[in-house]
Amino acid sequence: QAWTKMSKMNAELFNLTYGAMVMQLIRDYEDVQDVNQQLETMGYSIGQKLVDEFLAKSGVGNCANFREVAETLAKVGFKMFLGVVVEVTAWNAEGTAFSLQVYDNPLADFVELPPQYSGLVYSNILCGVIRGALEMIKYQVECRFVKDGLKGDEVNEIRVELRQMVDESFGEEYNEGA
Amino acid sequence: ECADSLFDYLFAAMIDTLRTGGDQGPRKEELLAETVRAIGFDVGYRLAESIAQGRVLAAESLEVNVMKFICKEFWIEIFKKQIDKLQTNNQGVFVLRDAKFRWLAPFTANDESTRRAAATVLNFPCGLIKGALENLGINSTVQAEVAPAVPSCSFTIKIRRS
Repeated sequence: QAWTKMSKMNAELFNLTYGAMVMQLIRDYEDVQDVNQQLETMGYSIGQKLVDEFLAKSGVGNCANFREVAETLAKVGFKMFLGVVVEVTAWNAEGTAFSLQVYDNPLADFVELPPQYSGLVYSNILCGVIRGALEMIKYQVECRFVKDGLKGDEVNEIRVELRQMVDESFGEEYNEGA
Repeated sequence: ECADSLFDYLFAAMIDTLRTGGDQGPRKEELLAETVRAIGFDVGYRLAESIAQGRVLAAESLEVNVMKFICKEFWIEIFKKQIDKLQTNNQGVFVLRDAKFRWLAPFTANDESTRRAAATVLNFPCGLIKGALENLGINSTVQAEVAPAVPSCSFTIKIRRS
């Protein structure tokens, strides 16, 4: 079981640093949508690096299909890196889109979003991490927050949609199950 | 421990993002250093609060007591080790040495570009220390340098007596 407990202090250091950085980005950009984009882009580069460590430490072989990817991401990935339980729900008929129910989001501990930042997707870095990590294992996805605990929803929900498989030869693209 | 790597990934990505700057365009190294220090200050200020939590630091020889707290409890909580050596000239200047500074571990070479990259990283712990000291009632300036070579470094703290 690759699960290692995320020590309280590390969570606090990580959480406080993330919060201070988001505040700085809000000062750097007039439009909060640009902040959302920056967070996603940051996450994307982190996800690409993190997946190597994840595959090495979790001993998870290459996932055979998108369903296995989703379960591994939720049950092993989130648990290993953020120490939280995440559930996969709401598959679409084609099996190319699902939702992640993130009940407890450590990034947002002790965080309150003032009304003027309602356009901010505070934890958008998570969407980038998922996109970056999945792309490294040949699944090109788009993800976004559809429910956000910081905006009064009772749970955080991230919708993940498969755009296309990253073909080995990077030649033609095909759409799995479309 | 996975959480450490998570912080390392975030920190590296943060530096790159801050370097690309925002609406005002890319940050020059000097402004980047200042921004990283300011973020470190915020984090250090609040971390000290939660680590010190209710501990009363004796008022007399406050500076020495606070410095010991930084070198021990504060450093252990964040870096899982104490500061290796604490020196002072007893006139408000303290030098803290960490022979194996965790956030310099990724650097192996000792060429000029490594030292510059390490210097950028060291702005963050400088901010952490300054913020923690501020929270504990001590105003200071903090400088860091790689000495003699990565991953060891030293932090020079000059206390500003008001």
